[in-house]
Amino acid sequence: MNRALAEVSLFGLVLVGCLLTVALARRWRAEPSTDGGYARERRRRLSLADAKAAAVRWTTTTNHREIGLLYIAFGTVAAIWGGIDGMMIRTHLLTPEATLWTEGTYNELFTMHGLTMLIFFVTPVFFGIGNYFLPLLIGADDMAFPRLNAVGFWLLPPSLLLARFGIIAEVTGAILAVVVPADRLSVLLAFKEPAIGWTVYPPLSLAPNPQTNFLLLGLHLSGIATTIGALNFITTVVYERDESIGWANLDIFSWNILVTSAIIIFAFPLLGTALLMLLFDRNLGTTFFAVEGGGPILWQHLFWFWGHPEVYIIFLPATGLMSLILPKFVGRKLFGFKFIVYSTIAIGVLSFGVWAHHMFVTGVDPRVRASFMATSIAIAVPSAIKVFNWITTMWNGDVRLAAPTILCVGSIGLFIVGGVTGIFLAVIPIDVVYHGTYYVVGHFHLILMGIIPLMMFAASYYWYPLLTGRMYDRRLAIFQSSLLVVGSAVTFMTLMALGFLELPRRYATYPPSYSGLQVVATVGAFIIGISVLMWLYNMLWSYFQGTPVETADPWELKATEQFTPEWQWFEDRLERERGIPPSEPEEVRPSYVPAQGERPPSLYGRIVPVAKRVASDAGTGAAGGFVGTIALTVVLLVAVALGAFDLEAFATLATFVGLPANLALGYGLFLAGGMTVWPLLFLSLGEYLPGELTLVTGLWYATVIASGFALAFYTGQSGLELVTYVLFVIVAHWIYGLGLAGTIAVLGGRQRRPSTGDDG
Amino acid sequence: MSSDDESTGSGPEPPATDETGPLEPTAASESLVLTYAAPFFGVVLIAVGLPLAIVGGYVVVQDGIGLCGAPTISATPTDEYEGALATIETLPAEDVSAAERAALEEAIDSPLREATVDGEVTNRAALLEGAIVEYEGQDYYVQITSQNSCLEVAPLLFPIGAIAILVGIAGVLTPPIYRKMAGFEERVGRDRSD
Repeated sequence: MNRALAEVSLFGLVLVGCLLTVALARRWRAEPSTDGGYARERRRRLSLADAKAAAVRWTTTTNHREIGLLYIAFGTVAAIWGGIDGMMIRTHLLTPEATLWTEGTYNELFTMHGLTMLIFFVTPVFFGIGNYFLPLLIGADDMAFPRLNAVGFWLLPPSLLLARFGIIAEVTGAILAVVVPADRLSVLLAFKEPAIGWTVYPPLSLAPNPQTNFLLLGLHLSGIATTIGALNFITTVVYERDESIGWANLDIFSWNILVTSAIIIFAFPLLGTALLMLLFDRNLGTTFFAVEGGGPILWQHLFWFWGHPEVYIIFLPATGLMSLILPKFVGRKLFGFKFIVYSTIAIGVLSFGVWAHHMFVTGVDPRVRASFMATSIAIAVPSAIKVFNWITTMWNGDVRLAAPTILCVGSIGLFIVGGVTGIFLAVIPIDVVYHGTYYVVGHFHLILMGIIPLMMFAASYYWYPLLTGRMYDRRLAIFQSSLLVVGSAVTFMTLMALGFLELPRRYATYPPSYSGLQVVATVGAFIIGISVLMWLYNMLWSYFQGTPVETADPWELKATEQFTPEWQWFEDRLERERGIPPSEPEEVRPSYVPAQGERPPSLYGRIVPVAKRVASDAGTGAAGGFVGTIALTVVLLVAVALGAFDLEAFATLATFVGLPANLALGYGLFLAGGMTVWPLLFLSLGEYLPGELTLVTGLWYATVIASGFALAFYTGQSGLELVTYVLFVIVAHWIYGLGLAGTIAVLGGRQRRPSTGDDG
Repeated sequence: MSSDDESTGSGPEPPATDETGPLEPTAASESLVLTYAAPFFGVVLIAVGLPLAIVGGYVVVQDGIGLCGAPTISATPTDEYEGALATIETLPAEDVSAAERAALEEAIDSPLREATVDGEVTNRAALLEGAIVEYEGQDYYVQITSQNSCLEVAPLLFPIGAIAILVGIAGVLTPPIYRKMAGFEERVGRDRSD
C-alpha cells in the first residue's frame, strides 16, 4: 500500500473533521434557539477582506500571546502528523510479517515519527505555553525581543516542510502522475522519506537519498529557531521581571523554562555543527564520519551530547507544568519548592554528563563506560526529588476530581515506571542485554508519552478558561484524560513486556509468538489516538459552544491563596472587557507553607522542639500502651478461662529474643512491646487510618494489628475453640485500641494532622 | 458530550461556576456507569475493532488492487563494497528473468537504487541472500529488500471489526443519548400532567 497517500489521507481526514467541528459549532451558535429565543450573535460571513486581514495579522504579530498560540497550533499539527506515523507503525506491527507496508516503509515511519515528535511537536508546544504564560507569570509586558520571537517561530514551518519534504514530494508526484508523464516527474519521485532512524547514524545516513539532505537542513533550521527562542526566554526572565518578582519567588514554571533554555544554548549549536558536518560528508566529500576519517562513532558522541540534554529539554518544561498545576488541584502549595528548583538546575548540569550511556554497546573504554554509568544513575536523584515532592504535595491534600488531576496523578505513576526502568538501563550489564530491545522503547515512551504530552493536556485544560473565556466539557475531559492514562499504560507497559522477552526493536517483522502482545500494544495505541481526537474535539467545540466563564477564578484558587499572576491578569481583562467584577471566596485557608521565621533557627534550636515532641509522644504512647495492654490482658484471661487461649504462647514469645521459655519473661516482653512498638506505630501511622476521632482511629488500628496477633499466638485451636479464640483476640485488641487511643487523647498526645494546618 | 445539550439553545447557558465555585463535572444524580463506564468500554471496542477491520479489509482488497506479491530489489555497484563481497555468489546474466532485468535497469537509474520486480522472480532464493549481477560491464550487488508478502487472515475479521466499532461508537455516545432520552421522557411526562 502506498504509505504516503495513506498518511496524507489520514491527515486530511483529521483536518476535515476539525473543520467540520468548527463549522458545526459556529453554525449552531448562530442559529436562533427553538424556544423562540434570539440568536446570541449575528451570523456573519467571512469575507475575503476579513481573511486577508486575519492572515496579515497572524503572520506579522509580535504579541507574545499570539505567537504562543501560533507555536501551540504548529506543535499540534506536527503532533497529529507524527501521531499518524505512530499509529501506522502500530498498524504495521499487527502482523508478524511485513504485509501491510514494506520493511522500507516501516523504517521510514519510525524515523520520521521520532523526529517529528521530538523536534517539531514537543519543543514548539512548550515554547508556545512559555510564550503565552511566562511573561504573564513574571509580570513582563512582552518577551524581551518581540520581533526575534516572531522570527524564531516563523523559521519552524519551513523547517518542518524541509524535514518532511519527502512525503510531500511523493504525494505530489503520485497525484501529478495521473496527468503528467512519469519521466517529467523524476525529480519529485527521487525524494523519499529517509529510513535511517531518528538518530541519523552514519554510515546509514550517508546512503543516497536526496531527501536526507533536506531533512538535515530542516533539522538545522529548527535548531536555529529553538536557540533564538531560548535566548529570548533567558533574557525575558533575567531582565523583564516585574520589580516584585525576585529569584526567590520566581514561579516554578519560569524556573524550568529558564533552565531548559540554558540547556538549549549549550546543546543545540553542537547539533547544528554536527548536522553541517554530516551534510558536508554527504555532499562535499569530507570524511568527518566516514570509516576512513573521523568514524561513525564520532557522530554518536556529537549526536548524543545534544541528544541526552534534548531529553531534558523536552522533559523539564513538563515537570514545570506538573509543579505548577498539581498544587492547584490538591489545595496545597508545592512542597519543597526550593529543592525542586535545585533539582531542576542539577538535572540541567548533569544532563551534559550522561551521553555515553546511549553508547555502552559501541565498544567504549570500560573505564569511561563506568563513569557514565555512575552519572546516569546519579541523574535519577534530582528526578526522584521532584517525584517525592509531588507526592508529598498531594499527601493529605484536598484532591479534586478534574481532568488536570487525573493527568497529573497518571503522569507521576507512568513517570515512576519509566524513570525506574531507566535506572536499570543505566547499568552497563543490563543495558548490554536490553539495549536493542523493546524494553528501551517502552522505557522512553513511558516518559515521552507518560508525562510530556499528558502535562500539555493538563495545561490546556487548566488554562482553557483563560485562553478562550469559556469552559470546556468537563465530563468529556475527565473521560479523555482517563483514557489517555489507560492507553499509555497499556501500550508502553506491553512494550516493556516485549522487551523483557527480548524482542529486538526496529525490525519490521517479528516471530509470530510475539503477535499477541503486539496486538495488545496496538489496541492501547488506538485508545491513545481516540483520546487525542476527543481532546481536539473538546478544544474546538468548546471554543464556540463552551459555557462562558463568569469568574476569573474557575478553579477556586483564591480559596487556597494560589491565585497566580496570570489569573490576576485574566481577572483584570474580564472586568475590563465584560464588566465581571473580581470574585471573593467565602472562606480562605492558607495552603501548607513550611514555617519560616524571620531568621532560620540554629541546628540546636531545630533539634530541641523535635526532641521534646519525641519525648512527649513516647511518654504518652507508653502510658497509653500500658493501659491498653493491661485491659487486653484481662480479656485474654477470660479466654484462658474458657480454654480458647493458651498462656504457653507467651512463654514461646520469650524464646524469639533468645530468652528461656518462661511465662513471666514472655509476658514482660509482650507488655514492653505493647508500651513501645505498637503505640509508636499508632502515633506514626494513626493519622492515615480512617476515623475523625482518635478513639475510632484506635479501633481501626487495633483491628489491623489483631490479625498479626492471631497468627503469632495461635496454638492449634480448631472448631468452635478457634472461633472463640479469634473473637477474643479481636475484642481484646479493640479494648487495647480504645485504651491506647483514649489515654493518648486524655494526655494530649499528637493529634491528627489537619490537611492544611500550619503545624505541618 | 454535554455540549450537545447546550448547543440546541433550549435556554440560557448555565454558568460554568456558581457563587460557591466551579460546578462538579458529574452531578450526583447522574449514573457513573452511563457517564464513564459505557463510553470507556465503547472506546475499548473501537480500539479492538480497528485492527480487526483493518487486517480483514486489507486482505479482501490486496489482490484486487495489486498491493502485494511484487518484491523490491536494490542494486549497488560492487565497487562501493571494496572487496567485501568476495564470498557472494554471482548470478549469470542469462539466468536473470525479463522482469528481474527490467527491475535491475530501473534500480540502476533510480537515485534510491531501488525498483519493484513486476513479473516472474526466478531467482528469488539467490536474490534473498544477495547476489552479484553483471549489467553492461558493471557488477552490481542485487538483493531483495522487501518481499511485499501477501497478508493471510480470515476475511471474516472485517465484519467482526466493523460491528465492534459500531457498537463501540454507540457506547461512546451513551451519555448524550441517555440525556436526550431522559429529557424526552421528562417532557412527555410534563405534557401528560398538563
